[in-house]
This record gives sequence, structure tokens and C-alpha cells, in this order.
Amino acid sequence: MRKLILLSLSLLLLTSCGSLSDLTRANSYPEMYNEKPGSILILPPINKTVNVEAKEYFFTSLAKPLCEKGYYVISPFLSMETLKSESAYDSEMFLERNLKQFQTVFGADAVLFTTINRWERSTIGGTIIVNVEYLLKSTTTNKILFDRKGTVTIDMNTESSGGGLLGALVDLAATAIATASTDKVVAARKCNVVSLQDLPEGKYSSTFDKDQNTPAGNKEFKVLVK
Amino acid sequence: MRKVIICSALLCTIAFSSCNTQSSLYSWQNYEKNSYNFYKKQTPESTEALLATYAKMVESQERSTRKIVPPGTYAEYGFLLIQNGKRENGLEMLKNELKYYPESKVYIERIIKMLEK
Repeated sequence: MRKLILLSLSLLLLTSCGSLSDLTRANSYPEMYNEKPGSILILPPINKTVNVEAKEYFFTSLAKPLCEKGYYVISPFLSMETLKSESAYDSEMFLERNLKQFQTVFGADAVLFTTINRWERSTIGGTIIVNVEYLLKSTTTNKILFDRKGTVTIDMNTESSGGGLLGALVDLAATAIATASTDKVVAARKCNVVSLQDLPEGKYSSTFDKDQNTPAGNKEFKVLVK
Repeated sequence: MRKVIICSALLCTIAFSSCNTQSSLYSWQNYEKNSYNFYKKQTPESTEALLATYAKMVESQERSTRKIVPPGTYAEYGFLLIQNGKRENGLEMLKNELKYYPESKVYIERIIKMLEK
């Protein structure tokens, strides 16, 4: 009997990380496994908000999470120069076009479009609400490989330093410092990490082409992160 | 019984470790912060800080999972060196990108050709 309990407890732990839905990376993003793109070009974000800086915050924050997923990411610093000189800095015009030229010029297997729909800060709650769409398209077939749209509420209050009045005061000061401008880029990074979590692993990852059954979340989601 | 306990303990360990995100493929140092500062405002200070970060990244990869620099690092490092008058050193770095990441060939060769003009 004890054996059973022990075993079932461990099994429960094993499954507890997954979600209850039957969405997996493979059934959500089958084209990723068909095409297995190795290199990604990040296109300048499409900014639908009035916050002009949002574009920059996002553009610089996308390379690291994609590299860590195991992809070859073309340096955004260099590609930005090239795209500007080719008057191709406005990504919106490529959304419906043939993407072959990105393969010819950059050697990219796929391009990543991002659209920032919402970028608001609530000063009272110390939160930033971001709504971003991620769209990865193949430069060979022009097919959509990965798409996700998330509303991410980021709690920018730094972790409580121990409660009490003094703690609260310290927290207030910390929030004030954090809101200088760095918090926006921190918000962008957090949003990317959450949204790209379901992206199948790339060729440099140890689980490349072995993560088909990893549970995936909904393509459209809402989440609160600290 | 002992076997079961060991087995369960093992399973638990696997379960816990699988919840965590896997360890970093690369060592990034202060790249996020310093590249963003440089992107926002190119001053001698932000340029110095970013160049120093690249140098550190090149040195510190032994501790990372893949043990080589992240994609694009050599390319960016090289480009920034060239912009700051260190042409030979910069070209060498760009060629390192080609060496470690052959898939960068199309783009990096284009850049090298442009710079050699």
C-alpha cells in the first residue's frame, strides 16, 4: 500500500507541471516540425500604440530568448542597419508578401513579426499591461510556423523586502527607481519569455525535435507575471 | 521497498527539475542591459561598456552549456570594433561568426564584402 502511495505521489508530481488541455507543441505548431527552421530574422516590431519607444524596447529584447531556445538569430543590430538602408524598416508591408528576399539577403529560414497592440502603464497598481502578437513565417513556403497573442500584465513592484512600515517604504523607493525607464524594457523581456515558452526548441537545444509532446498553452492567452 | 523509495525519489527529482526552465545555453553577462543602453544612446561610455561586455562574453563561455558564444555576438562585436577604428580586429571577429555559425554565411559574407570595399 505504501508503495502505491509513494509511486502515485511521484507520478502526480510528474504530471503537475503540464496543463490539463491536450494542446501540445506538435499539434499547435505542426509546421515548425515539418520545416525545422534553423535561423531567424527578427523584423522591427509593428507598433500600434502611441508609445513610440515600445518598438525599440521590443526590438532589442527578442534576440536572447530566441537564442536560448536554440535558434540562430541574425544580429538585430546589424540587420537593423541593412533594413534601414533598404527602406525596409516598416515590417507591416511584408506581412502578406513573399518573404523569399529575406532568405536571399540574410540567409534566414524564418522571419519573426511582432505587433504591439497595447502598452500601458497603470501608475497606481505599479503594473504594465502589454498585448503583443508574435508571428513566425517561413521564407521558403511563406507559411505561418508559430503564432501567439498574449496580454501580459507585469507587476513591476519589486519583491517585498520583509513587510512592515519600513519594508513598505523601501518597496516604494524601489518602485520609484525601477520606473525610470528600465522597467519598460524589463516588461518587454518578461512578455517575450512568457509568449515564446511554447515555441518548439531549435537545433542547438538538447531537446530539439524531441519536444513534440510538451504541453502547450492557448494561442491567445492572458497572464499576470511578477 | 527500498527500491520503490529510491525510484520515487528519482521520479520526484525528475519532476522538480522538469518544472524549472533548462539552464542557459549561453553566458550573456550584462548583454541585455548594455546593448539596450547602447541602442538607446550611443555615447563613448555606452560603446565602451558594450565592447567590454562582448569581450567578457567571448571569455566566459566555458561555463555555459554550449561553450561557444551566442549567435550574432562575434558579428556585433566585429561590427562595433570596425566602427571604432579597429578594423583588423573587427574583421577577425566577423570571420569568427562564420567559423562558429556557418548558417550566417549569406549575410556575414555580404557585410564583409561591403566593409572591404
